[in-house]
Amino acid sequence: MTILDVQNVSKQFGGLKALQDVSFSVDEGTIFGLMGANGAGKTTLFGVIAGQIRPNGGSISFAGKTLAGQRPDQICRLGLGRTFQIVRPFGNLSVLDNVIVSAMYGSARAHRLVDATTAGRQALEDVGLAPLADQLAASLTLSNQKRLEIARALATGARLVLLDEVMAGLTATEVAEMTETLFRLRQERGLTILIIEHVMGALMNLSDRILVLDHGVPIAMGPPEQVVADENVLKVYFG
Amino acid sequence: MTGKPFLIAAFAVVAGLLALVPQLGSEYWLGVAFIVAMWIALIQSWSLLSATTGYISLGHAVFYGIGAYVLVVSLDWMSVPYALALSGAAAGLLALVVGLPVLRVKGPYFVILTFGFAELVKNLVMLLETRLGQFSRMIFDAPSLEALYYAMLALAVIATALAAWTAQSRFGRGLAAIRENEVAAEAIGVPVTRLKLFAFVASAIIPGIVGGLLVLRTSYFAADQAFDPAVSFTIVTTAIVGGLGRVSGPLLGTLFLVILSELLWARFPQAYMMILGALLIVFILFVPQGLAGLVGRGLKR
Amino acid sequence: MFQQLLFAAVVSGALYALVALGLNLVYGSLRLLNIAHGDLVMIGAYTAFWSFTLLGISPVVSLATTTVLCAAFGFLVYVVLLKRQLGSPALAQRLEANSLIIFYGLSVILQNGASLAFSATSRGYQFLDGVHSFAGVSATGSMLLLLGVAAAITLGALAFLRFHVAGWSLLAVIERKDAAAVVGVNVERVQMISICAGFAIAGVAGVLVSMTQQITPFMGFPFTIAAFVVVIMGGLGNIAAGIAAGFVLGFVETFGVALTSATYRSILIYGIFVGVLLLRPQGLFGKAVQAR
Repeated sequence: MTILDVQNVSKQFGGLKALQDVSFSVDEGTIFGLMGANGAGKTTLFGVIAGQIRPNGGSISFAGKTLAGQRPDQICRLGLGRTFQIVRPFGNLSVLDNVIVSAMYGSARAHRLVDATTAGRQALEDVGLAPLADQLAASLTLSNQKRLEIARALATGARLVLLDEVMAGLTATEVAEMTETLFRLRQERGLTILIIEHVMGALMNLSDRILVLDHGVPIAMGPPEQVVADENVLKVYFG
Repeated sequence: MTGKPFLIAAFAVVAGLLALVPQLGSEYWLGVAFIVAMWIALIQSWSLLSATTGYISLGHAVFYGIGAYVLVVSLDWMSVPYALALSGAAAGLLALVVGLPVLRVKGPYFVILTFGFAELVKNLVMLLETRLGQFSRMIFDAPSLEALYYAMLALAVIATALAAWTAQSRFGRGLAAIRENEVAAEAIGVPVTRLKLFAFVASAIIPGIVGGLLVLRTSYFAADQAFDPAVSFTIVTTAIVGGLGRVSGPLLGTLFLVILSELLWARFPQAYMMILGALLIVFILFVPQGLAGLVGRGLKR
Repeated sequence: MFQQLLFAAVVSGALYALVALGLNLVYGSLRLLNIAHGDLVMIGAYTAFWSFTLLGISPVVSLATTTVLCAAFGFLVYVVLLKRQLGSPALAQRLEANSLIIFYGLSVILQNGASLAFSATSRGYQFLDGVHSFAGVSATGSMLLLLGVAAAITLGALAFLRFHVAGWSLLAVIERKDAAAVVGVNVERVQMISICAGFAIAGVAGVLVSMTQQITPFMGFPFTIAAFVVVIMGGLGNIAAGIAAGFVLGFVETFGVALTSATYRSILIYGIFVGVLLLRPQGLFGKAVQAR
């Protein structure tokens, strides 16, 4: 059952072709990895899917609904959450308040404070931030702010989350923990995950399928073991 | 959370005491209380937009001035309550019309934009008045000061209640998210544009009515006075001295301001303005939590 | 008639370019929006006025004393209000956001201080007011002096930025403070000098203004607004474009007022100001430095 369908998406910034004819689809309840060097267009692709960036062409549909012309907040309320590679915490709010406002405004639509608090605490529990709920978000370490990014996306009630390098800067143990967390979320909540990661091992481990981008062009797609053996990928990565 | 009933009780007592001021039978004290209520109403309204979203408006005099102008003009056709309602509606409508383009501008640009916009409207109204051959307008048979005072007090109470409600509501949480990070707020589903516009309009309506009430009190309208940028300046200064983000901030700030102004304004107007300027700098640099923050810390200790 | 208007436009354009240059220096390297900038113009004007009427000192000499005076004031503001704040990143971030309000406070203090000290009466004096005529233009000596000094300073500033090593470090700080520090630019010193220079330029502009217009304690504000218009048109922190934009404003204002009437002057200026901010907050020409 396809939840996200991306067809022939292109994006140019001035003369730079950031994305060229990118197409793929993601099945519900799977983990889909995005690979590529810096500047390959991964984060741009996230921006296009989540509505922060207008594509020049192509179409995207989520759970059967087209996302064309929708604002980021509308897309979020359809059940699509995202994290930011460069973290954007609500610094002067407590960790708990960060997730409460997500639950109130996201697709969870937990307008009442009690419901939003329950949903928010659950999200903090999921990423291991529950003990820090009362701290100011700005006071968290960078790796915890990355966790908060995930918690906020989860608290919106998203069925699909876009995770942008949430493991960068984590220790090996933390990467293992995070991997386990993501598997558990998929299992327990039927969450679908689209993930960008530079930690190669983790991405191989996690993903059911992987798309490789090179300078905005898709060069390979398939299960991890097939992608790593792909001629084009080898050429780009190992010359 | 335990402090909440206490705070509500405190606010009720303050409002109750203020409601008793006319019983003193003193024109002077009634005038002072009128000014107190006026600044509370203005600053709480300003806070609805600026303290919650961080979009600091340095041009709130424009709503106050429009309210004053609409009142003085509409009084020819209707009775005072309708004219006051129209003042508020006009201010809200102005905010609604200019809100979308103005709120797209961010940070320091927004601050200077609001200022420039207020000056533009002031000059337009002045030009219009000159063209109409009006240099100032007088109001005859305005309501009694007592009646005006109760109306102003009601506005102060409504504005304070609105601020208190916003602080803990879903609406207020959305605004706080916008203040902290607009892109992230939008990504978690906050309809950023709509919320900002809503806050902007809400923060304009009461200052519009306040402007109308003040014109009734002074019985006199001149565009350069009604749109005086010193009003915007005083709002921002008092709000910052009182402390942003706390409902008690504007109350403490106003109390402080009115005492200072009673002591100095009549005899040393320049010195008064200079002290306000210095307070603004000192508080924003060294006491960002304001008087409310200081008092709050004192109480905890 | 046309030549006369053209000349008037060039004079006011040069003045705007000069005033805006000072504002742009302070914004560019410190990211502070100095809304008290026009009040420094006022301070410069009063310095020239009192020097001339009380002590008989020529405004040409006042150009030098004002430079020292306003630079010293800039230094004072830097040391007392800004240094500690700019030093720590967390405080500096808040300071940037609050700079406009801080300088607003300063502006109110300066205006009311001047009004308290000198009264609100408008004042003026006669200096180099003989009229010279050439090519269909009549100009007073003071206008020509204004034009000459403004041109010398703006062109000097451009040449400095283009050709001098210290000018490059200034550009580096304007472009990216953190990166400039990494390549060995003494950011703190550049910032301190920028604020002194920015204040001094405003003061010098005030001396020039005092020769051609009446002065009052509240004369500064229109200059602040004009400088903001210019700087925003050119793009905040973009020095060269700011100078060009000064002339654009001078032309639009002079010809706009000539085509309508003097009562439209403030509406024109504020209209342009609001319009520019709404349509292109990043500046009309080129790219502006990011407001961070």
